[in-house]
Amino acid sequence: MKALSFCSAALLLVAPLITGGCKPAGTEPRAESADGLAALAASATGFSSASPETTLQFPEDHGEHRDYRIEWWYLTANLEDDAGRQFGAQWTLFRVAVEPQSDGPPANPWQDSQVYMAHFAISTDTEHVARQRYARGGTHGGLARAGVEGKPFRAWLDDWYLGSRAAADQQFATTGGFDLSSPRTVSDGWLPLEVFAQENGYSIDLQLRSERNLVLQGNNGFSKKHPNGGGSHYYSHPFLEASGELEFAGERFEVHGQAWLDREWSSQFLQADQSGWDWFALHLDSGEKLMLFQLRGKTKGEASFRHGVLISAEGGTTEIDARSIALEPTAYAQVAGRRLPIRWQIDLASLNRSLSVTALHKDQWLDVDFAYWEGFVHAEGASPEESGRGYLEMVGYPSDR
Amino acid sequence: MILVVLLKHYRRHPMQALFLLSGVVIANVLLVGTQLINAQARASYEQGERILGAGPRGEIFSTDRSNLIDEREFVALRLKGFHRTAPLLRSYVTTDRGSVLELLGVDALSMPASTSSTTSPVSEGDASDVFDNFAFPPYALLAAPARIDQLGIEEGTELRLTNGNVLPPLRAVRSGELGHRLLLDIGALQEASNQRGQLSSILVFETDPERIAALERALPDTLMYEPGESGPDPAQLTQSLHLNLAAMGLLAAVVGLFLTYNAISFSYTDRRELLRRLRLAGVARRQLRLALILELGVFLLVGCTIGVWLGAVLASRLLPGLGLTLAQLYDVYIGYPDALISSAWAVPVLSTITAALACAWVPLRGATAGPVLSRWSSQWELNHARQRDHRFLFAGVASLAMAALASQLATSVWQALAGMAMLLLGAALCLPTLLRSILRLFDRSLNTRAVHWNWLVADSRWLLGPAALALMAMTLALVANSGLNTMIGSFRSATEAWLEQRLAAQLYLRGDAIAKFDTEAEFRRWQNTQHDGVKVTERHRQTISLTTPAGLPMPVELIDLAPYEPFRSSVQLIDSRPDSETRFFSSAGVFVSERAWRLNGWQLDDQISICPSALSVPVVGIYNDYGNPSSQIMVSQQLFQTCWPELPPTGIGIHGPAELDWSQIRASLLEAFGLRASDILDQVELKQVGLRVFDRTFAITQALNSLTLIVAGIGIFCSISAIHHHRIGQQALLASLGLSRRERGWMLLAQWGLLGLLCTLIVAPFGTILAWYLAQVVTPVAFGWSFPLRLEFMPYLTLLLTAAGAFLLAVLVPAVRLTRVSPASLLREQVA
Repeated sequence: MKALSFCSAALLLVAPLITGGCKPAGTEPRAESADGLAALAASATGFSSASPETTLQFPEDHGEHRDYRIEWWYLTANLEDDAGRQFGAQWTLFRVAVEPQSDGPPANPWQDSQVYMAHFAISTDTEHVARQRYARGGTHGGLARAGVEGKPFRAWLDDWYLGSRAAADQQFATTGGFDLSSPRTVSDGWLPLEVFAQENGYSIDLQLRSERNLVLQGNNGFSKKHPNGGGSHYYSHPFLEASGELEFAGERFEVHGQAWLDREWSSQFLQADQSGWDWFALHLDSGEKLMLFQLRGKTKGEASFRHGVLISAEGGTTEIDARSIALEPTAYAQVAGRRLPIRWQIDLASLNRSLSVTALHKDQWLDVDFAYWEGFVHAEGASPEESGRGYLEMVGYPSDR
Repeated sequence: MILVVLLKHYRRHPMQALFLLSGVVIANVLLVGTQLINAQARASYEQGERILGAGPRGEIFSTDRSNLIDEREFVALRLKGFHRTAPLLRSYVTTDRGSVLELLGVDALSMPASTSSTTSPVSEGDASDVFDNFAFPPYALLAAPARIDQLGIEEGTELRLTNGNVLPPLRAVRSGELGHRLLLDIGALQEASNQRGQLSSILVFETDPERIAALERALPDTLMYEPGESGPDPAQLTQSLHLNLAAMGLLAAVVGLFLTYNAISFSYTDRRELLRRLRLAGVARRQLRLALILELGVFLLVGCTIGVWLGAVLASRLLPGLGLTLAQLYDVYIGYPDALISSAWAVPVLSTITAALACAWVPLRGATAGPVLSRWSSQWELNHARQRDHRFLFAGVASLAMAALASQLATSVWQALAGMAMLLLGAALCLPTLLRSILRLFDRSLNTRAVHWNWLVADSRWLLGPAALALMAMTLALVANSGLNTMIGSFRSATEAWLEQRLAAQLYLRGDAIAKFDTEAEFRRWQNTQHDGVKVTERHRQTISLTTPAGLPMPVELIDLAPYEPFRSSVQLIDSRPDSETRFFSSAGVFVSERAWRLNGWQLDDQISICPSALSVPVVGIYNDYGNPSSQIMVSQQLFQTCWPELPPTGIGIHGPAELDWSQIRASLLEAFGLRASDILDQVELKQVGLRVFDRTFAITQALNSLTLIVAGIGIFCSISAIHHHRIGQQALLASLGLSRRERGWMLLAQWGLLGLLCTLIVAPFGTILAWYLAQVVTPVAFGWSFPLRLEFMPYLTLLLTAAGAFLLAVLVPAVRLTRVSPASLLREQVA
């Protein structure tokens, strides 16, 4: 579960435009939109709804679904160099439709209703940097600043890129001459993938390979997010082997490790009574993958909506009985004016497993327009089935101020 | 205690207190106002283009600056990783009500991220509202509240344009940085201005020099990067205008100080008797002086407070006008802030206080230093005044000599303005002696039997003593006013004549419209369907970098000129070499604009190399190019073609005999090529726009000018009233000599009328000289253009009437009062 609303985040963009200030008269600040979650819970009128009846089709579903309001391509990687130094890397592209676009793209690409936001972050065990970018979805005579195509797969915003090798070669070979629309000749154009992002002395340039297949989450790719049945389409590729180069503060490192790609789209993620979530994606030392999330209710004391799946080393999935998932924060840290749990005790009674998940570096806060905590964690337990590495995401914790 | 006794005087003579206060207020108000305006503008320059985020470091333009950029160039740069770039479309549109708007179209999503933009109220306020309405339908047209007021429209209005499109709803933003411009989404602007797919520039926010170098390497030949700092420094560019404003403020301050001095002198003279008695009662001279200074302090405190407040009000009212002037004259933008900078008033107030105290010193000494037992005599005062006027004359002549010297030698705006100040001061200083001499002439030539007149003239000569300063103040204001009026009038006529000449063709087709014809042949076919007299001429323009004779590289605008009428005679040369025209059209010479000549140093016979494929040629003529903020070089069409054979025209002129039906030709052109009305510019329309721009440009000068006139009027009123109040004795004397009230009334009016008329007579020539000074000395140094002086009757008449009005009002009120009072009570009042 990876979700961010960036409608309200993108709002802040106008800020530098009007440095003198621009607060429209007669409107009160909406506290909720500052959290950025309003868009996730906003009404989905005019858009398609995610439903368990839909069967996912590949490679088409790697691409974007403009009839859904919100969508993301979310890659996290636990990396290390030969000296054993550990890194976390995150590359994310979000797409949001500001309004339903039923008549096809408008004549003027600046008036396209699709907005893209990309996040790129790197962590070491002591430092964390995050960058963001925005773009509209319009295509200017064959050139688009951002977009996603399914075959061959490529997702990009400016030069930040996630896509198949074949498409990547074309992307970088042709931008000089305006020719992104040239015919492509790639079969299914999926793995291996390449991910690239750079900004001012920080960059990642990784190859992502795998022999395994992607994993459909939930019920054949429909992931329930609320007891009343609302949800999203959700699939993952948790078995990506990453290798390549990483640059941190101008210093370059050869790195390798494990990466996890999440794909999710829907028109309504959160229901009105939900306030945020905690999400775990763990690469266990046994070769298994564990995904868990809880959607926290707005009312204090109300039970969270939980979901978990254990993916075997071969790719088979086992749903974990929600009632047997216990998620308890055991340590907190003050981060960005918030009290955030940075150590969790996870008990999975039905699997008879118990893990302690800790963020080595507490401050992996993405200080972007829409801010949240996303960082690499270590899981410790009695056996290889209970220990490993992975990523934790925490969204919707209110500020103390 | 002494202070209370002293202040009691003003209870009996409240008008005197009012005059003193008026003097202090006037000394402050315009000075503070202009200082605030200047400080505000300077702050804007320092902040730079803050309106566009942290401020772009540079901009990418089309190599030919006049062309727009294909927006795909921007997308391509982004895809190559140059992420600190943003598209910009700058467009001028005309509303159906005739207002010309400068619009900036931006893409909010391409702007540099606002990471922890702590200062921005947007992040505190309801940002989503701004976002939803700014970057997406229904969009918003953001403008500073002062700009909305200036346009005379209301928030929420959807302005309709002459091209039929409608702008998004207008919305006031309390942004100090927008100033004259209006901001909207780039897509909305492209649609409103029919410029889909086009940008005027790409803003570059990159700060890393290496990345900028990489960016420059990545640009195609059609684009060029221009660092922000390479443009002229706005503070330097606009220096002359701000100096002008400051000078006007100073002028008003000087007028105010004259009035203050006047009021203080009278108030002390009136209380001479009281002061004498206080001294006799044992008050020490030092105590008395201290008390008088304290009293003055009270007036200064109140006067300065009112002055500063009024100055701030004035500044906030005038700032949008200045913004307009700067935008049109220099392409420089300032913010219209919600609150004015508060620090700028300190210096004017301090200087007013210092000057007022200095002014007060002479009368103060006069009032307290005199022998306690002797009484004041009018003869002593007359002699004293005559001596003073001689000193004034000496100083005045010296000032005028300096002004004459400066007119010949001035090379900087400062020197030119200093010369102008000398001229003004000289005029004012010479005034008393000039008046005295004229009156003496009158006196001698008058028939000795006309006793009343003899007395009147003699008394007027005496009156010059106390009234000289008030008259000088008035003269100063009037000279400045008439000078400015004449200058603006002359400049306007010159501009009009120049427009008339330059806009030789009846119709102009804009460059971007030309692209709509498939071939030139297609256009020629259209031409063949028209009257034989209809001719078509391509106009070209190109900006190139040239090295000035001083060795500095600078961008110069290059235009071509067709070798036939009406273009051939559309250029008026200020100076030229023999055969200049023949040499020009045979490509053996070029013309340079007056600005290029005066400011950049190109002289006749200097060699200029336009492009590598043409030989360098000499400058053979210098032409007027009013209002053009950049230096220009004119070359023959042939030479231009040699250098840039492929360059598309920037416009096409369609011309022919005036008697043809041009509106029909225009209609046929629109129809034949499916053009929009905005693609064709009409000569008449262009002229109107040109003159409208001119009038707006000088709006602030006009406004300040009217203010100085009002100040002068108030000044005249105050000082004459004060003098009259002081001359009750004379009235009593006349009354006791048997003159009727009516006769006394007429004599008063005649006396002041005479002085006023004489002043005005002196003002007119000085005003004209000042106008000449502004036209031929200050403007060329400041802007690079000069213009012939054209004397117009109306400004002088207006001035005369205004001055006469102020005079009459000032004289009538006390005159009526004096004529109503009985001689006996007048005498009693005088003795008391």
